[in-house]
Amino acid sequence: MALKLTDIGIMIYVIMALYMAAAAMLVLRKRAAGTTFFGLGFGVAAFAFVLRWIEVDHLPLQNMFEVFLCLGALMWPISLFCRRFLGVGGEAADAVIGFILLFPAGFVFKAEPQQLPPALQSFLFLPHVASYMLSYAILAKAAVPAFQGIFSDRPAGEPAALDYEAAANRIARMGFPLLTLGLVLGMWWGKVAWGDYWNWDPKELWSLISWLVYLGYFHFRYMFGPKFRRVNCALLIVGLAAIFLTLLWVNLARIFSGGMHSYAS
Amino acid sequence: MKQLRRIILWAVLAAIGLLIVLSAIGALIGVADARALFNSLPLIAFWFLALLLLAAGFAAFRRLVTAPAGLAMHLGAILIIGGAMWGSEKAHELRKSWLNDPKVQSGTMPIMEGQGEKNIYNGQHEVIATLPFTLFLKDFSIDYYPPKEKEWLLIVVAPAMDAQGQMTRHEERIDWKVDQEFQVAHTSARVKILQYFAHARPTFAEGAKPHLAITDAAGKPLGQLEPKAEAEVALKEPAVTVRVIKVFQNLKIVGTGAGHEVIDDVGHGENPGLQIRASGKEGVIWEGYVLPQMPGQVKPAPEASPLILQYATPGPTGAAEDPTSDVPAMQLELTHGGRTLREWILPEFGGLSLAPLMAGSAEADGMHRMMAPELYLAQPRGAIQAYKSDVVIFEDNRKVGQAVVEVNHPMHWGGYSFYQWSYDPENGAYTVLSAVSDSGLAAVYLGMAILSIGAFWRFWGEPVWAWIKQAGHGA
Repeated sequence: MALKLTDIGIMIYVIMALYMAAAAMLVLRKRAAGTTFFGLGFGVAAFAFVLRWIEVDHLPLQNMFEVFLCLGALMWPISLFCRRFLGVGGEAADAVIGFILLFPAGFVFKAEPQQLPPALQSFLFLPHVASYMLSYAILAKAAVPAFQGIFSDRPAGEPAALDYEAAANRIARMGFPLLTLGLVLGMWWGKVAWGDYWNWDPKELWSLISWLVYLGYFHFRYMFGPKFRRVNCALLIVGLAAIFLTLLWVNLARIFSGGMHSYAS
Repeated sequence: MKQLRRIILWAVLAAIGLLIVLSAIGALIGVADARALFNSLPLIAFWFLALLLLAAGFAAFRRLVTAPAGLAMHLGAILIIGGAMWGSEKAHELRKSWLNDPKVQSGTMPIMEGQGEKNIYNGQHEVIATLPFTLFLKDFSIDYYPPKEKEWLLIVVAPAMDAQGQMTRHEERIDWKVDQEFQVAHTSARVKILQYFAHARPTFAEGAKPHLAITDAAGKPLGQLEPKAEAEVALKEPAVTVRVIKVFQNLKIVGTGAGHEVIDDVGHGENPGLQIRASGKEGVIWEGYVLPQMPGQVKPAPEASPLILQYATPGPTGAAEDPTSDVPAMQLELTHGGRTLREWILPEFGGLSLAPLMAGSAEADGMHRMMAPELYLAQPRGAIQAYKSDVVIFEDNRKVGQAVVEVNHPMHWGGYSFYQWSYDPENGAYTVLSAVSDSGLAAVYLGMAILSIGAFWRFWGEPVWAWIKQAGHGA
């Protein structure tokens, strides 16, 4: 963990501040101010991304720092897309997710090219991580209306608004293909790097569990539709919990058994 | 029909739930046990049931056949599960016993540089399969990233005590600067760096020859001897005659204890040494071996201060800057017990032993003489970038292929993929490849592709397509 006092590093902290300000404003129902901060944050993020592109002179998706900078910038377009085309809101949560995605770029991953160990030198490394992180961000967004849907059907006082369960479903449908892609790319990479596409490694098993929870959700909803809306919502929350465990497993695994992904720390 | 669909869907949900629970257990019990669990007989039955359920889905749900996205996702799942089962260890074992198919699921192949190997071994070093071709290891190498440090590293090898109280050798990296002084760990010897040339060549004294230098404990020269059998010198004060018995090019000690033997293993490396006999008025007072890094100490009388016998092998006397050279040189000032020596370290001439400096001191007596501290310069190296095995494939004594196997770059041949698995960490003289059967892999890859495509088509493509059609109708 280190502060980045470069131009782009400082921009990342500015974006994070703008995202948090946006989330605070939106929670306080100051919609105009909130969307302005969020949009401004995106503007700075897009500028930082382009600046990085000019600095390194290639598409800046070649290391973890660049991937997370890009993901942080993508939250605003994703939010806008969901509002326009899916008819679902939740901008405050989107701004918080954007903040969380920028955290690794701001504090954890080094901006300079890294000397990667042989196992990480693969063209599959970044697509695998990027599709997973993007799907996690979207599925985290889906969990917000799912959580609200446990307690009420739809936003109070807005009879025309989409109900929480349907909103959560629309977002989950957007995230699931990316979750599938992340899993499949991981299997492909495992085959190329270690000789097996499946090694029964704890991290692999937890990512399978996450995928299976969403798979179960889609089958359950196919079966019953919105009839058991609270169960649908609960499954999406369980899915996010599984994602959390998948992400944390590298650290937790030390307590239990270790495994192939523990080199990542 | 509706009832049947309901039953199938409930069975699907139950199967997914069961797999979630088993995966959570698998994550807790570790890789080896999880592998065993998911390949156990009840789980084999489960995988067959999963295939059956997917097939039943096609039969009962017309949309799974008519809608391309649903078809792709479920067909993808069938291909992945089926392909994985076909490629599993159990399936290989069954094909071996029923169809006489010699293929094994996986194993390792240790190969020495310059040698060939066609056997695949299991974890107990037993041959489990023999390939119809030979993998010949031309070369194994490790690539390094450019080092962070520009200058070479100064390393001190000093005696140290391990956790069991045994004396061992401990390497320590000195963070050096010219004009800086440091103390060698566990000794009172001090080292000062006088000069460093990044590019240097050695310089030699006119007519410098190997010789046995005889000095007193303070380093005062008393005489010298040519390293030739029968050479002899008679000192006056103290009255001692020193004689060379035998000259060794590569001195080796074979065996231990009373049964040990000192031999000259010519042609297998260099370890110059001399067998020396020192005689006083009353006969032989000392006989032993003197190596450049291990001087001899001869006490003419029990209370007298010792004579030091130092075998000096031809070495450079100094160094000069030379831009064409890619090795450095460092000049050091060594101080110990009022004695000061100025020495050069040149990497191609090995390390610098502090034995001559410390010889005769109480500190050196307390320390095993083989354990005298040593300084050397080491080339800085970055982190490991790649392990490379340059492999040539021979079939019927004919070269049929060649590849460099690296982590993330396996080689495919004859139904197996070969992966960089392990290597010789000491000398880089051998590599270990793992051989993994490709059986069922094509189905798994195809399944992975169409499962992903199906998921994107179902959840991204279909709504966009519907929206486009609707927009078209609207217009």
